[in-house]
Amino acid sequence: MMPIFFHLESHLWIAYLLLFNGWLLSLLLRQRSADFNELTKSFEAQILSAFFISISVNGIFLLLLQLLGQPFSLMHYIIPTLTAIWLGVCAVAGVRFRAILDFEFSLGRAIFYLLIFVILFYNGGLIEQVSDAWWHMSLANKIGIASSFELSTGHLTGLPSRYYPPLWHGNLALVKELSGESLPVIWNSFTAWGAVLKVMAFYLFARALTDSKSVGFLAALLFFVLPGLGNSYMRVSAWPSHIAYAAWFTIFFAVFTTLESRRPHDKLIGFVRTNFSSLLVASSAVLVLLVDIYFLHKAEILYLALAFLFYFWGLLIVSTLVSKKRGALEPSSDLLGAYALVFMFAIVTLIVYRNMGSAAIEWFSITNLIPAVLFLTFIVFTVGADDKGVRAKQAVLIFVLLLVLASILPQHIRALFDTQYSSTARVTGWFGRELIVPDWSRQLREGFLWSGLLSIPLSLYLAVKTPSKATVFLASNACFAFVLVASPYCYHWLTETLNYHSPWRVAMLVFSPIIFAQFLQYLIHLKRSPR
Amino acid sequence: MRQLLVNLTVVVTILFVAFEASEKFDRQLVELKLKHFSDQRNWSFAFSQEHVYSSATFRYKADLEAFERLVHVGSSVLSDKATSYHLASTLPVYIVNVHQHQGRWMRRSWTRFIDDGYFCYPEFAENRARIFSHLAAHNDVQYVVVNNDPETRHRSRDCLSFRSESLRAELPEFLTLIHAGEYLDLYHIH
Repeated sequence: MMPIFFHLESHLWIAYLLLFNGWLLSLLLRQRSADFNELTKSFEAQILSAFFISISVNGIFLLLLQLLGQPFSLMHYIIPTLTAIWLGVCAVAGVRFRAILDFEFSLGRAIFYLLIFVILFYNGGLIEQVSDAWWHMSLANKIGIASSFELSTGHLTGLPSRYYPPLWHGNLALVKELSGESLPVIWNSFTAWGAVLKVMAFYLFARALTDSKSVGFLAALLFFVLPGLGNSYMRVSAWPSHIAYAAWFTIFFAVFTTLESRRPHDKLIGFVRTNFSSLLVASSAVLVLLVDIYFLHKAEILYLALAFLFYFWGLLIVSTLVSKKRGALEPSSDLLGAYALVFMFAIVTLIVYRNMGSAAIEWFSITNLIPAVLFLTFIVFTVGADDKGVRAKQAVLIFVLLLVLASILPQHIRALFDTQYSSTARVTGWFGRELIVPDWSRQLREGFLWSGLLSIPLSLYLAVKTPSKATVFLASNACFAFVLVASPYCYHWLTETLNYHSPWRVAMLVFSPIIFAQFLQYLIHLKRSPR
Repeated sequence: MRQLLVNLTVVVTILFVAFEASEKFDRQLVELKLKHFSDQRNWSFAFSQEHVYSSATFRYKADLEAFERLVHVGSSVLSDKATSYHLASTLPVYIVNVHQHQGRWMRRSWTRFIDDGYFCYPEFAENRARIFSHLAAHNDVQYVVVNNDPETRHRSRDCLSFRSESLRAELPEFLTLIHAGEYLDLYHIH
């Protein structure tokens, strides 16, 4: 018979090593910066900042030990010393007990997170099967043994192995070293913590995007209960990719909170100048999270970049089709436009660089026509003024969007619904060439059928009926992400451009829980104000 | 009329969400997944730590601690796939029986050796001859671990489990039992 409460010690170590020191540091930062205090005023933001500061600081000290050729076991002394230093600095800086309790609290949300913790505590991590979890634990084990992030041989077989970002594995090795617990125990225990962190981050993201606590809460609830793609799987919350998802959602939160609460300004330079302090704090937080993601799993940096690109494309489409200024929908559209231009030029440069020489002619063939036309159109639209040549722009945009829709092959869509019809890794496109398509059975079918798929028209409906920052962001991400996996031309291009083994994960940009939450809010609003 | 439509849409949306969320409460789905060794990646009210405890390494703690004192750092171990991963994540050892996408192709000879089943059934003369020639030609593995745990589920997909007695009896010239644990036996390859 299993004990009802087990591995208590590992939970206490996780709380100390992966939260406490970071929390002390975030207290100090809140004391020093009103903008950071504002950014982390909710208890979710405080817990997430404590976690990400903790794993970053731990990673820095582990790296220092590696560079100095010292064993990781020295962390037995370093971690308590850091705790003493942060406590001392807090005392000297005059951090008061009242400041510690100064955060926005909600009993309902706290009970919800506690419920998630309890459920995942009793569900445990996915280690009853031979999953990739064991591969990650093996890497953490060898990093701890070697006291180095750079292993001379592959951690699993002893033969050369691919590089994997090691920040999370280093932190796991640290918990193992200091707690004396085995990695499977730590992994199993952390799953409950990781799930709560991820849902908290999703709540903050949804709340900041929609500017509504109730929509944020409902979205977090739906994120927990609805079937979705990989990021919603809770029993794998201790995987490095899921730590990166939490960081990814937190970046959305930091960006939308900062852009929403700032004073608008006509010009980009003026906007930056008038909001310099808050932008600096938000940029620093985003930079730390980006560095974390780079050393956790990397791919989320691309999803983040694409999310804001698609958002800007959505703004361009709405402003063109309804003849509305971009700034009316998103006061920071200039900032977004500058980012989108840089990102699009970076992608074009990368493609040109990769395909220089004889391959260039092949690349600029009919296969890449759709993405090339999309990019060209949006670059021209971004550079151009909002109010010039409106009719011509509308015609071009409608033509391009129809072209993209036409590039979706019916047999590929049919394979989503009909498993018997599925699924080859390649299909023949309209113009004859074999194109790579995603295998729907890789999380995509579960993610799309049915909530994921239904959320796409719902998001479009919301964007048309109530165009706003949130609805345009959700609709543009849902539609473009779906097009990327549904159109063989776009998916083929994405696969070749990214050189990544799972480009289909871009479908995670269909944020269906937020779409459903917002749709329900819209319906409730209709009920209350019938006209 | 409009209000009725709105009310109807609210009800339909809530019912749809409830329908989609119902898999989290589906006991049959969990049992089906367990039966077919399918990963239970998402949480479920029907899933519990009992399933994790029966197949994770928690119960092997004493055996693994004993192994840690006996094995050489950096040595390689042959075991069934599941146990191999457990060993790699706990001990300072490497493993040779791994999944395809995690470097299995690099351990081609050992993979074939296990998959063909010769090593698991040394009581047959033909297999013994193959085992002798293989072990004589490949000296990059120092230990064999046999999992005798009757409860763990996924080891049944690998023939090496449960063959401890047979290996001990049939291959004394190659294998020496250096630790007989509660669940795991550790052999040294000569």
